[in-house]
Amino acid sequence: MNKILLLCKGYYIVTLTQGQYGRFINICRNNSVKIFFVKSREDECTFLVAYSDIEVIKRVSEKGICRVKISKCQGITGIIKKYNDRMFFAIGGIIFVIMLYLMQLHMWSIEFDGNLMCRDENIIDTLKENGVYNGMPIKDIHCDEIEKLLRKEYNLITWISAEIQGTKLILHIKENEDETPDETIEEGYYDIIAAHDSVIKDMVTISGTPEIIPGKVVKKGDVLVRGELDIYNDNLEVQAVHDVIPKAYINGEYCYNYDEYMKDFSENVSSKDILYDKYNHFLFKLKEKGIQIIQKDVKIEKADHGYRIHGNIKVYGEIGIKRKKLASDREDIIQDECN
Amino acid sequence: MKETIVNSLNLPKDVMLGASTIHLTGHYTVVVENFDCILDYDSESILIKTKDSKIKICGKSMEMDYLSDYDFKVSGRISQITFI
Repeated sequence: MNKILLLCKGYYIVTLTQGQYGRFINICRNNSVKIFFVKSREDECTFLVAYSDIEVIKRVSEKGICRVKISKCQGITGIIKKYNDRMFFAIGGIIFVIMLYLMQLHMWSIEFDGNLMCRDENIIDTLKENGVYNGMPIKDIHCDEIEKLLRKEYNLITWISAEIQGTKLILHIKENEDETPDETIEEGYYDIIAAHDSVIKDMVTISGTPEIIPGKVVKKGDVLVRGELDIYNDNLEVQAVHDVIPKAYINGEYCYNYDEYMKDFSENVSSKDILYDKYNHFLFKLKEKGIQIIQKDVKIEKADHGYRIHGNIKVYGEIGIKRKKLASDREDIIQDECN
Repeated sequence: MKETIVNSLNLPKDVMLGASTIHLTGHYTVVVENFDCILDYDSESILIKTKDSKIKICGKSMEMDYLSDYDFKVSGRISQITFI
């Protein structure tokens, strides 16, 4: 306990040689100096005195009772005394530590992992609109809410995980790479419609009633194959209409309008390279889906503080997607059947 | 005369007569209160002067943990305490 107190207050190690140690100690005692850890060896005696008592010891040592050697001040007071000249350096260090502590209470960057179709800038804007921005306190960030928000805002995102690592918010995203239509197809009545504005090149209808022929230009949403089968009578008049599950292989030529812009964020990493990588990945995904690329007319050029890649990609591939029949269509059919 | 009164009234002698108090913990530490001065000190013996006698503490590897104007504490291996 005494040692801890001495460390806090600061202490000196006093070494006595050649003289009457007992007398020296008694004089110190008479001057109300408390001395600690007195050790006597053959030719010397050492003890510790508190920082505040050293002046008395110096005064006593001037009497010449014995030879006195006083060490440098030890303990916290000693350290403060030693670095007294570098006080501003120490204050700077303390301020640095405080600043570091305060800074690490905030989130300073948002990182994305796995997103291609949803652009970083758009997600950052969405987060900003909902109160998640760079520099906000980490304690106010709720990862669950961010996940829910982004899942709600972006239909393309099928899975998202938000985590905080240090001062970074990392969003791990998985996008819907198959691009299935939002509307879930139920068992029953549906048609095959065009997914893009395109020119029909070839088609094989297995079931259903085809509404187009190869060479025809169709617009997005046009019905290609009806999920119905007309039953004719002997006079070649439609006697009844039966619902069937339409199945057809319809290929056509259509264009993708590719347009993406990216700001230069740092000098080391060029946004041009990132854009080019993204573009190549997009082409790779198209090929993976069995879409043939016929013509590419895409340019990459410098835009405001960054690069923009834009142009058209002409492709050949499957264009038919299933769409549930509208209720109005069904009513018409039922009325026709009743008549 | 004073000693007789203190004894008859059963008063504390360390306060009334200035007698030394010695607290001994096993043979490890000794705390001595009410002493006048240290006459001799080394690692094997300590001779102290009290109001009416001298006390000699003998032992091995003795160190004085603290020394104030009221008391002192010695630790080590105490073997003998003698009133001279």
